[in-house]
Amino acid sequence: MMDRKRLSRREFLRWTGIVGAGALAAACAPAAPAPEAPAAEEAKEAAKEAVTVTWYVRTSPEEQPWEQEIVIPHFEEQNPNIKINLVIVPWDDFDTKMQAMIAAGDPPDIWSHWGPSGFQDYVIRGLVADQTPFIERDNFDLSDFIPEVLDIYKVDGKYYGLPILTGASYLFYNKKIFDDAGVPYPPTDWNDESWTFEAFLDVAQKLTKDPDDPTKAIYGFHDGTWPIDAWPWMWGQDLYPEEAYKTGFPTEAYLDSEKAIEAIQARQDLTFKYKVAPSPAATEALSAGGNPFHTGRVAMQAIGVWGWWVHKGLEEQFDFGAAALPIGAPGRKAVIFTDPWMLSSKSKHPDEAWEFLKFLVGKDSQKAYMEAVGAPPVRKSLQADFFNLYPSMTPDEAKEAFLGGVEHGSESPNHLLVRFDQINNVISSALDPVFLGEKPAAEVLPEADKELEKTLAQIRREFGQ
Amino acid sequence: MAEQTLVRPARIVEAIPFWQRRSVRRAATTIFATTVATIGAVVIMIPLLWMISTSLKTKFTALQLPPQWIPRPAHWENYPDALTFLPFHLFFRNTIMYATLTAFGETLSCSLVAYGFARLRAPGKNVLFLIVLGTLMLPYQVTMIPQYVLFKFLGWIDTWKPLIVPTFFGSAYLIFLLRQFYMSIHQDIVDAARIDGCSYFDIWWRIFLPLSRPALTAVALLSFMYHWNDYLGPLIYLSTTEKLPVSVGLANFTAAYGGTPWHWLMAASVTAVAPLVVIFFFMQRYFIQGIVITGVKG
Repeated sequence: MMDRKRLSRREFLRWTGIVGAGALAAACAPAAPAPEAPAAEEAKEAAKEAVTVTWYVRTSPEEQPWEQEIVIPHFEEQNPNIKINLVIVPWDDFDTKMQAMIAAGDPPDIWSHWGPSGFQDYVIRGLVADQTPFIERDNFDLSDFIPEVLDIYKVDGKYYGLPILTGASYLFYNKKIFDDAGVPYPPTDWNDESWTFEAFLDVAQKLTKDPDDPTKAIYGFHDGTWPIDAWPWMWGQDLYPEEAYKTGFPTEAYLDSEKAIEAIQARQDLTFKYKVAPSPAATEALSAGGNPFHTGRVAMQAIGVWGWWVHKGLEEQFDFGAAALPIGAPGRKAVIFTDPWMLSSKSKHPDEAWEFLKFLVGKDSQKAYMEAVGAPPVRKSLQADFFNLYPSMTPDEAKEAFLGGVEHGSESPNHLLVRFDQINNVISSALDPVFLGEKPAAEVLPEADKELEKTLAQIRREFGQ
Repeated sequence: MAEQTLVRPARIVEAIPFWQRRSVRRAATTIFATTVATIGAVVIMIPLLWMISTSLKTKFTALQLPPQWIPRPAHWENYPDALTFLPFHLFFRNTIMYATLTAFGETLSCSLVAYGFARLRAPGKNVLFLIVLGTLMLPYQVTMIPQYVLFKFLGWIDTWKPLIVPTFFGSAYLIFLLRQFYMSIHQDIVDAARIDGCSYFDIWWRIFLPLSRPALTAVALLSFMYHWNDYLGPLIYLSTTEKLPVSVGLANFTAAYGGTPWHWLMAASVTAVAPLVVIFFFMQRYFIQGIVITGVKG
């Protein structure tokens, strides 16, 4: 009996230990969320009924300071009854987290298509609110916006997204390499008809040195464009019928058209026939730390609008300029990328969310965004400032190149076609043999076109189109 | 006999060519093994060295080809810059708290559950065990959204609770690992303990836990490492920057369009990896011992 009693006392002590540890664990667990409480109280003191608006953005070392240090403090100061909950998500997981939030009935209020999905994907799923009633109610002045850009995210004449930034695809070039070789710069004038693909190839050949020795090579050209549509577009060939960009669902594909084959073949030839562009392996090595153009070993790079901000500050290394894309065939088009702010149709506080959206597209926020990120503005009144941001280009040079691209471009299919992410994967893997130099375009594209049309049909079926 | 023994040494030394001498062969083996191990170590170290080297460059020199291995001048300011650009002291605090609590929770709960599966008899026990193992087959992506909805219902979103509390209810992989180890504990010890009046709980506490210390250490370390690196869970549940762990914090340096500041990302990564290297350095004996004992590779 004595033994048993002593045992159970020890047992008791041990149990206390375990329970204590458990309690400690439980006490530690909520330690992190604790700071929320005082913040919430402060908000309550500031205004009786503070409403939280969730702003869902991508990770970006340039954008975060703009969001956290400029936009949110200014907005909250002006609107003490609205709190902004900034949620920052890496590109890869942008849609995953959003999907979880939507499933739990807690969708973000304001966001842009900064993940794998594009504008049309969100619209077709009924996640985007029509902003027209708000615009009309508040008499919100849209006259400063570039009209064509404003039209991109109109659905049936209604505004579903107000733009943040816009710009086409361009040919950026390293002025130092041109100067060293004594070759004249490519034209900034998009109407210059002498700037054909042949003229471009000639320049690229003059600038290329030692393409087979990756430690010494200077490449005439690197293709940084995306998506692949950029190439047929340079030859004036669309991959889908015109109305697909309105409905979101292409009914056929023109990947096997003569012009598309010519364009894709030209891209292959730059690497494998003329050797003015780095091979896939060399491209990999050049891209190890980011953009190949920054290595100073690429004379010209065709790239989407993001060239304007990823190349910003590059003047520290070498001077660079922006020029028109070459003309593969008459009707050349550049791919335009425009990002809109969308308002959630499932928002619990649409009025407050709209208040914030209005602030975001306001001139002050746009100017701050342009200055922080280097992204081209959508307000006409800010363009002059933008053209002054690049020390190695004269404002006129920057203006002519930039606006010419917008004039000669159309919005990117990844924003306007439903499930473009999937479409793009199908095309990319089908075209691999071409870009690895294994097969000519004419052999691959007819087959790829069939596969693409199959995918398009499957997507249409899925959405009951 | 005596004569033979006396003659032997001199003859044998002469008879064997020098490369067959034991000392020479031993030395050769050592040199060979060291060379192979050194080459292997260098190959494995290259990414680490690249990481350290990049962390001391500027945004643009980080991209130069051929890469400059020893950056001059070394930009040590990348470290304070990167670590203050985002609140990394909070990220570290969060990760340490998260990894420690979950390692404790998983070790405790898994050991108890594994004991039950290894030693207790109950109807349907094997079916239950199969169900536990079955949860291993479900990818996280499948259960993620239903779980999220559940935790939203509990009001636990943007807190650490959905990430920590479930670990106190076991993890299928670690349960399986410990169960295999517990099955190897001799039944005689258990019987002796029963005769001495131990309850089932006592047997776990007094016999199984002390005997399985190496296995428990391995389990705790595996769990710690896993949660130190855990990314998707915190990414989904946490939104406030101040609550993020290091893993998600590092991802916050990435940027679309190749705009990632590699020099900062690498500086932050070196800092994030350092504690793990130190832990592994001091604990490797337990770590390797535990894995050898449980017969499972991490």
